[in-house]
Amino acid sequence: MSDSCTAIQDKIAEMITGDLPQQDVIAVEQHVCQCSICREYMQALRADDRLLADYVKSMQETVTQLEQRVIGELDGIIETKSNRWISIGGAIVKSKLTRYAAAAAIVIGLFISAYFLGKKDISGVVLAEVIENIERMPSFVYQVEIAVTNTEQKKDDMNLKCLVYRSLEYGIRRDLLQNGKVVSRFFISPDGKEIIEITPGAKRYLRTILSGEKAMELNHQVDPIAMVRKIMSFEHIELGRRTIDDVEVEGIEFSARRLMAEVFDDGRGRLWVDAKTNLPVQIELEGTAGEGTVQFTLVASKFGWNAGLEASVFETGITDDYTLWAEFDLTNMEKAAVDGLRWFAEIAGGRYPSSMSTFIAQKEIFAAWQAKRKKESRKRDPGENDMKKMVGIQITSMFYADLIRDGKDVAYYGKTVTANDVDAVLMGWDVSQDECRIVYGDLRVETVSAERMAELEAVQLK
Amino acid sequence: MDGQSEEQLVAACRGGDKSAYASPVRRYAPQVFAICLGMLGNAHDAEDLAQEALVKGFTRIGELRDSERFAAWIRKIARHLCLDFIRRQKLGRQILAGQVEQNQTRPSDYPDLHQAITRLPEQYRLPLMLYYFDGQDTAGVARTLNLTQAAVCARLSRARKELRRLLGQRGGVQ
Repeated sequence: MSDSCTAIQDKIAEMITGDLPQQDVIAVEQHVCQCSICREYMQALRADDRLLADYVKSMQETVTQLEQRVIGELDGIIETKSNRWISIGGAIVKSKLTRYAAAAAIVIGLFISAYFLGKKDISGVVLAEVIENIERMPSFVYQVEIAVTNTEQKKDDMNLKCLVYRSLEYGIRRDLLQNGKVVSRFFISPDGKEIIEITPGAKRYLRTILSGEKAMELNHQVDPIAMVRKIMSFEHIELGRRTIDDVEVEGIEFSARRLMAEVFDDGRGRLWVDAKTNLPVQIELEGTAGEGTVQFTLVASKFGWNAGLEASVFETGITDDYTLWAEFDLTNMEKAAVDGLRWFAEIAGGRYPSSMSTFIAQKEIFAAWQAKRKKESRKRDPGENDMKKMVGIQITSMFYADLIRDGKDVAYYGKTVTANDVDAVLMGWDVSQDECRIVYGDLRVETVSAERMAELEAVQLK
Repeated sequence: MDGQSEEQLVAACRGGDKSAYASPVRRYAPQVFAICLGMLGNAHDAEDLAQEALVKGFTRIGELRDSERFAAWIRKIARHLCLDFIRRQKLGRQILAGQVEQNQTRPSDYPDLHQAITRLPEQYRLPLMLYYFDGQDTAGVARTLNLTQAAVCARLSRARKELRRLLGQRGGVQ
């Protein structure tokens, strides 16, 4: 290659950008007609140019997602600052990792306030008036403060707050806040047939469809009236009277796991009602999960009765630029629960959650997903499919907790049973005095006799 | 910018008008991302820092003295964040030496090109990224980088030649 070729190749590089003066372009073109080396060089640079353009095009989705995230985050910040319920000064979500942590929190919070509420059956007498009193309220608000402490990993410690708005006419809204910033909103339609969970920061939402009996059941579960009814159906201890915020209250104590097995492996709950008005003043739940490594405290308080909530409070605010993150159909709850286990095993390489506590299960699946992503050298937001799979295990936790609330004898062996243990009992519960339902390690589901269940469990326990 | 001057948009953003910032975010996101990618040579870090820069730019818009200088201001925020990141991560030496570890790069449909871009010196990579990502011509890149157009043309030319050399080492055009 001659010196003139070196000079021409410099010009070729400028020519690609279109900044070469016309007379130089002519000189280059004349040269390349005669010089195969420079001709090939020009062809290669043009190919590089196309390649760069294609590369940039392939990154367009990244830039679009970036735009959406920034706009969503700004929306969240401005909304937070303008929301009278929320203190100003929430921290800005600075990185995707923080967002994932927030996503984990969202997931934890997803059904917490809903499941705070339990189901039917009345056995108590003294507190029956509480139910009648709540039923008279067309709308009310309350808050739930949630503290999570992990004795092994301090970074998992979390303080969350839920603001719950309840209207007999418009349904339920629950805002989940972390560091004073709204990380998710949860809406339940008045008929209970649709649940929408939105994350304003990411401009995404989850949708859950229910129908028939399940919708009615969930409607009961999100209704504080039903919560009190459920608590009353549990064995409980009368706590007598005390004062909370200058209000004389009367309380009972019950099993926190019985009310919320999707959070607690063990723990106690207390319901305090105003001794004069017979309306709830405070509900406290405290307990542990993950063999005592994670401690939870949930306190529902600041009930505002007859809040005069208008329809606009229950508008989801989903606009055209929101995308659906995942959709769930809970028509067949058992199937949805098994799907949750299947997806967990897919992400976690055949393992199942060690506990049915949502926090533990969610933490484990998130860690497995991160490990998988790292292995694949990917650092992307979870897509619709990932999200569906990660949230799916929460449905399993709900299903498990539902069985316990219904007084079933439920066994779960996720700590030792994997997808390879084809015939081992992963989860089992009694459906009648003589029969049990079993989900095996390979996720087959069948009804067996109580004796058969006992045999299988005995083998496993050995 | 949707018929509004930068000054008008900045004023609207300052007033907390939600509809006002969507447009400038979309306008500046590619440029800010290109700057971050150009400085860091690593797409996933570039995404994080571009997001941080844009959010910081808009949430602190009240601190901007001259509304007309928003573009320069947000670029400055992005550059400072990137420099700070490089300092914090002690990556400066590695990046200058083009030794960003493999596990810090993102998977790409264009692995050889991506690797070659990563190995370009920042002074070449930055104008190249602005030229392609933000669709700026050389005059625009010159304004963004506060360089002369001739200097940008020279850097782009060298960037192309260096890129060709690196791609040639890896077996030619992908």
